[in-house]
Amino acid sequence: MKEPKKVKNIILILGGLALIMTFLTWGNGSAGLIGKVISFVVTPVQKISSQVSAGLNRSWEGMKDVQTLEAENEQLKKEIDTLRYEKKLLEQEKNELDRLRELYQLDKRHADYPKTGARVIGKNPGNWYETFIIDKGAKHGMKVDMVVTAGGGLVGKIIQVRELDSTVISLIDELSGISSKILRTSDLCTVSGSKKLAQEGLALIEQIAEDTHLIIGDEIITSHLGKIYPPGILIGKVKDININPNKLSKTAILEPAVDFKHLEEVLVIIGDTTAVETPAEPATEASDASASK
Amino acid sequence: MKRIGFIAFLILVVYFLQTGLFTWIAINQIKPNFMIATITLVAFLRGEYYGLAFGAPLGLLTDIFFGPVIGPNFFLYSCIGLLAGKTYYVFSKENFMFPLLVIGLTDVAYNLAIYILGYLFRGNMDFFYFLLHIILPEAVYTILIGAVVYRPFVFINQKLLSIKKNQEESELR
Repeated sequence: MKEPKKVKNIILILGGLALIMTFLTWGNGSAGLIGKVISFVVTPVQKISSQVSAGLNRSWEGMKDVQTLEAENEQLKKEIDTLRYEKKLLEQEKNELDRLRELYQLDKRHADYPKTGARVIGKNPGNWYETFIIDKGAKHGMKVDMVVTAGGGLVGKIIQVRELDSTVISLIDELSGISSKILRTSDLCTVSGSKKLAQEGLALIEQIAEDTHLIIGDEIITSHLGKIYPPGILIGKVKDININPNKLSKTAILEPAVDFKHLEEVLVIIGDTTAVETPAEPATEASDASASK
Repeated sequence: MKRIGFIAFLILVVYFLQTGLFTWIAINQIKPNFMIATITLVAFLRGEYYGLAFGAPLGLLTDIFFGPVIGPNFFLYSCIGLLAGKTYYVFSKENFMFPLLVIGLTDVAYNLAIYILGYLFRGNMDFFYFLLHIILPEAVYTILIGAVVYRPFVFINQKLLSIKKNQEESELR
């Protein structure tokens, strides 16, 4: 009775190891690369089909035979089908392009930081933490603690990097904390995640001095004190203010500029953010100017 | 070899479903835990070693890709597989309600462990909020998912068993 169980155990250990190996190289087959694959496939097919149609055009002149015409008709019908299919794919691509263009426009707001786009390819399966994976990893130059933004503002930072993908922790996660400041008054505060508020896509603003004049709608940006987050990136707006009974400090609720529920593409700030800190002032001014409009 | 391949394939499917589809069908920000439903059902239908074979890789995957550290999910999912596998010897496979009850129990146990490890130890005492807003809704949702996939799982299991039986018979001849 003991023998088969041992065999089973060995099989299971081997299976586990095989799975680990599979998943260490995983990333090529993930959903995020579908877009790339589509463009990868569509362009050569398109070239071939244009060559085919050019060839057909030429031969059209030579052969006016009914039979060949019929054959050609058949062929062209098939081609129309494939072209319709391609057209649909291209339309999808176009939608994506529009969205990315929009993202790029918004990106101009703090354009001083060099950025690279990435796609969200998987979200945390549990209900406790707000992490997700993007389709760029060490191969594309991602490093731990790189700052992730999206069109509207700050998203979070990279906490893990693998060869082809990396894990991002969002600012509404319980484990997040960002040194930030109120744009209008330049008062410092801390934005930290809270599971309770994250359920509604919100975060907590803490450590606001009691004498701070805070109003609902104030914009919160990253401060110059943070080591990881470069200054001047929009985090969100004040949604609600709670005054503590002890009158020592107040807290507020932050509505992030980014819609975490529907996050599909993000922009990762590449390069050493500490090195960027010196030329970062114009970025702050730029965001100041655009915010005051 | 075929069996390992099939297990690997199933784990991949479960993992992609959980991190892709199920994150988009969340009701009120609560996702069902399809992984736990799968691990528990497999352990219930095939015993603790199969539970471990599903639990360990799924936990490891969750940790590698999403966790701040590698370990807790791996350990918890493995334990769930092994412990839920004990029901394999005890209960009839015809009973529809019992596996769902086990799924609910394992899901609640898993989330309690995550709460204690990740939140209570960090000083977050809002237990009843989390119980009412995360743990119980997720358990209910996971039980529903389990109810949906229970019949297909039993069907696949019987198919695999009958294939195995046929193979053994043909080998004997």
